[in-house]
Amino acid sequence: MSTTSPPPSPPSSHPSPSASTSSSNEDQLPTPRAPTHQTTITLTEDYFAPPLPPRPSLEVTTSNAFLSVHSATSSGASTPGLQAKPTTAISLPEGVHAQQQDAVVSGNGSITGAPSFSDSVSVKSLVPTLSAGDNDVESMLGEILEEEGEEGGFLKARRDILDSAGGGVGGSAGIEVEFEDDGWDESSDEEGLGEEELVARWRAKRKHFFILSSAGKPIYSRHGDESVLSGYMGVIQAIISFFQDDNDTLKGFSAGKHRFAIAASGPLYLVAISSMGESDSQLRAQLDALYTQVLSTLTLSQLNKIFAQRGNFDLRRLLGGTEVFLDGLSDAMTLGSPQVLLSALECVKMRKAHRENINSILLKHRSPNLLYGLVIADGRMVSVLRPKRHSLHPADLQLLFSMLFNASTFRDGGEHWTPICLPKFNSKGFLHAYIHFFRKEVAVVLISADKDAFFEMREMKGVVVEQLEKAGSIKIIEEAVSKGRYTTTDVLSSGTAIRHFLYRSKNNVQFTMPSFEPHFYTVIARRRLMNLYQRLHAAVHAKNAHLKVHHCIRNSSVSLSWVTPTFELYCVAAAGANRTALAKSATAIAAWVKREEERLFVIGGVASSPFLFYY
Amino acid sequence: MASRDEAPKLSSSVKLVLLGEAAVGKSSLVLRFVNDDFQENKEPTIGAAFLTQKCTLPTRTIKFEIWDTAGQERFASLAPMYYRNAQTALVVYDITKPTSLIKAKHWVSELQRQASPGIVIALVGNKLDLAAPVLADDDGGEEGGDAMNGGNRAVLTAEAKAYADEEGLLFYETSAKTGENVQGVFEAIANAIPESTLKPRAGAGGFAGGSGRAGAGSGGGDAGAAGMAVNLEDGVRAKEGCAC
Repeated sequence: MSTTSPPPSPPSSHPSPSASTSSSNEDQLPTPRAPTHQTTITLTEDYFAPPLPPRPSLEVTTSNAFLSVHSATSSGASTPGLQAKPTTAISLPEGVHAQQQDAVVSGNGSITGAPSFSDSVSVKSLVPTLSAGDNDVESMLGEILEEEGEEGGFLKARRDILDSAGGGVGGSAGIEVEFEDDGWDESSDEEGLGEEELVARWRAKRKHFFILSSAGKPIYSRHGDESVLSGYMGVIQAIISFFQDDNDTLKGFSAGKHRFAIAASGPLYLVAISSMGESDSQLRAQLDALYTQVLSTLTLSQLNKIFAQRGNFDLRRLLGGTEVFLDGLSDAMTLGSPQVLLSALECVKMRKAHRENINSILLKHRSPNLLYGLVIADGRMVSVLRPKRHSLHPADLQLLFSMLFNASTFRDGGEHWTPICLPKFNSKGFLHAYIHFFRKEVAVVLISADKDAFFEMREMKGVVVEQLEKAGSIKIIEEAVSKGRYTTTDVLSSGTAIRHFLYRSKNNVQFTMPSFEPHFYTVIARRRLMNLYQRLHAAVHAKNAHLKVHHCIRNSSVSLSWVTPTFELYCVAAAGANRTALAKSATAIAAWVKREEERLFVIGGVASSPFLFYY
Repeated sequence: MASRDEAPKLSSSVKLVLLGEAAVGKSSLVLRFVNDDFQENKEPTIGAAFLTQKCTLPTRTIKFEIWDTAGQERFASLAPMYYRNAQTALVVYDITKPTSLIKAKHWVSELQRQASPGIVIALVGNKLDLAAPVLADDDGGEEGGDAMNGGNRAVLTAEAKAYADEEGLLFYETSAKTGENVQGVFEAIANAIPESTLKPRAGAGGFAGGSGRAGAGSGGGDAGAAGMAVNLEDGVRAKEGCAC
């Protein structure tokens, strides 16, 4: 992945099929970040130690001979944002959206995968237009439904809920039922249980994330403790290294209804085990998000150095205290994170003039050592200030958002000053972030490369908050947050069959969606919805798919994916919704978003760059 | 900054840094001191948190600018940034965990070597509530210090006190959970700071003596509240008003 060619070429557009067999993670990480140093901003180096030796290159082979179980979807094709281009790239001419388009177009590579679940979806769902292929789709869905049926009460219960919700708003009758299901990964009170029961509970989780060192030492697991885990870690390590001995890279495999996805990232192995139907590349995007979280604590340089010196180092010592972030992120992804799925961010919807007000206050009061300044509310972006020649990579932003909103560490109303590595910006060094939730759901984040800049950032925050207050912006933000997201009936007529949608703007690397209420109010319903989105997303992003429109009918819902060069739209309607009406609604949504674009997204003057406020 | 004139007392700000092993309760102590609150299972501090709180003494008002640092090993190399200009340090250990006292001793000697010469150091044994049956007073020392007798206590009061005396440290045992002795520690520190090292407010703040620009931020933050008695809320409010 070189930054020299004019538009950074996205990993998904590897010219040769052989290259696509290696995970794009490995491709990414050693990317030289030199360009950042051309500006006046100097980055703090690693605070641990003096400069580091060059990174020991990973023995990542791009061998063709990959596992027969490896599915064709497992390359980075459908996770463009996360595994994306070299972001430190000083300017991203069109990087971001070029890469996104690619995700759809790519997939000319040969399909070598054995038929697997996700394959069959993508193959069968080659529905070129709205008017064709209903039967195909239905049979495909039949498969899915059968599969779900096997899982027993849990999914059935969920389906019931969705069905009843489909019949109208009165779906609340079935809602209480689902909490009796054991399938929901609540962190239950596990004290006082026997080991056998612990293991049983651990195995019952629908989704696992593991991080281990390449020597097989456990580093992180969302569930289970050491006693349960160590054996499994050993097995995983053995499986991975078995293939590595043959210069092969194991990407994923299936066992029963569980899909295993494996990412060898730097000196770490990350493993996701899911029975929730994600595609390999979606799982890998999730692993990438976890890996980014690890790097943010340690930097890649530090990580490599540690393992170069001591292969069996226990990394937990150094990650101490950050489990809350990994847990928060894992849980968000288990619940279903549109951010990670779409590798995009969501913004607070507000009037253009209001946002411009906030932008100009940030701009006017920026202090000399500021690198990035953000106003964030309720996990959504309000405003971002960035240097002219640097963009913020969505993955870095997601990391920040996840740390702020999936854990309570920073949300105590206090002022925080913390070193943080934004790996896509510079994986070698730390930046320093001033974080202050000056309101319950509203935070100012000011990022500097200078570790002594706390008081400078603090002063800037003081002025900015005062000015925001004076301009009435804080009230506007708080109102926007407390009002919640818009609803589908705000967008479409009140009788619309559309229950929910995701709209991803490729140019802005942002997405928008209506409120989960009233139809997807409960955790289970929401997770089910996200599962559906994952399937839709996988279908249109499968490597061999050339889909532009994908129509999908299930017992519980009718859904539509629509991909164009500028956006992706996924909408879900009540069961039995008419196809033409659905298509009309989709068009209406697209038109509405277009009309509201400047309220829904943070848009800069130049469309090709994600967030562009020059200064 | 008119309000300062109304205050009859001398008002000065003091930089305070908390150091100590992870999970000994540094943040909880500060939370108790600043907000009179306690949270079970508080998430670990990442990097450092900055808080302010006023402490009113008969003769003067002291505004503490508190750096609550993260205890994890990986942040250790950042500590000098926080203690460099600190006038006072709270080195905290956990009375149920002997290794945390060892770590505290390391911090004390590092401070004695590297921090400003006149720094006032207080050694604080936290989690006194876990030493259940021990007398609340610190004269108790509860001999025969068995787990039976002293709850979960694993560090004897006498032992820590002897070390503190030897090194010339203030010494307290506290419970952030019950609030016991927490106010006392900060008052004792406020009293122990020599009059001469108290600077007028304007010079407050700043990590590094060398970097002049850094100091500008914190002065004047509490202008509106300076004359008031300890107000548990104003730590936050004052910061927001900072408009220098």
